[in-house]
Formats: sequence, structure tokens, C-alpha cells
Amino acid sequence: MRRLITALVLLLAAAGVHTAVDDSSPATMMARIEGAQSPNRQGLDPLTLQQLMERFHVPGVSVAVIRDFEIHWTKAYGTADVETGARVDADSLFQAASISKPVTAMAAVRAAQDGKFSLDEDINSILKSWKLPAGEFTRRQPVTPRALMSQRDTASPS
Amino acid sequence: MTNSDSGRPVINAIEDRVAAAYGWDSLDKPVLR
Repeated sequence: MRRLITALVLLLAAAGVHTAVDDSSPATMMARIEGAQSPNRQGLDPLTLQQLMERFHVPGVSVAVIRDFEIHWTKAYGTADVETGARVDADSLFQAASISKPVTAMAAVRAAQDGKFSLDEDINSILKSWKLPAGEFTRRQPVTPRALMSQRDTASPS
Repeated sequence: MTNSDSGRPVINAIEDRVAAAYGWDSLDKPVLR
């Protein structure tokens, strides 16, 4: 009888572990994010993801969740093109907007690390197709990659 | 990512939902009232 109880306890423990793993499966996590939130913390929590997209007039959304340095899941919602009705998928391209800033900074720092230029040299010695016009401020101190990336200087062709 | 100029509130809501689902309390934000 004791062996039977022990086996039963081990079986239940194993089932518990199995359930815990399933609770964080990609499908479960997607469902949690797509549905109305519980508990309801007010604000936008009562809305489903679809309702959120409708309220803010967002045709398409692409989500990627990274957990422990790996992509846990990706999923796309809605339309990529409102005229053709083409659906968004995980390979749809989006405007990167300000995400391009840290990506560019990372590439620049890597290039500097490889000796292609110094972070403290005049950017006009690095730029090829366009140069920063000289002005009162650049005469006093040249604009450098370090200053740009730490947002102490700006350079715009417009 | 969203393909709308008004995507920021949706992105914020998704971030909140992901943080809540995964228990990432470092992303917690004040509760809207």
C-alpha cells in the first residue's frame, strides 16, 4: 500500500511539473496576450488584442517574445496592406523607426572596434556621400561619432 | 512592430501583457485609473 501511495504521489508530482511547463508554452502565452486581461487592471485590460488594434486603427501587428536569449514565439496579426488585404506574417517588413538608432550605434561601435574609424574623429572624415556643412559650432568642435551616439550633437541633411 | 502611426498604445499594451504573462516585474508600470 505504501508503495502504491508513493507511486501515486510521484505520478501527481510529475503531472504537476508537466502542467507547469505547459502553462508557459507559446500557445498559452499567445492566448494570454491576445485575450482580455485577468485580473483587470483597468485601462486597456478589458480589450482583446483585436479590439486594441481596432480602437487605435492599427491594421497590422507582429510580435516576437525573447525569453532566455531565445525567441520563444512569434505571431503576426491583421493586414500588411489595407488595399490588397494581404495578411501580416512573421516575415513581413515593418519600418524600423527609432529601433534603427541602437542598431546603427552597435554597428558603428563594432566598426570602430575593428579600427575602421575612431569614435572621436570628425564625422566628415568618415562620411562619403554627404558631408556635414561647416558652421559656427563645428568650427569650435567637430562633430564626432561619440558625440552623435551620446546625443550631444546632431547632424541632418535637411 | 505595428504598421500604424498610432501603434504606440498597442505596443505598450502588448509589452504590459507579455510582462504580466511571463512575470517580468521589471517592466511593471503604474496602473491606469
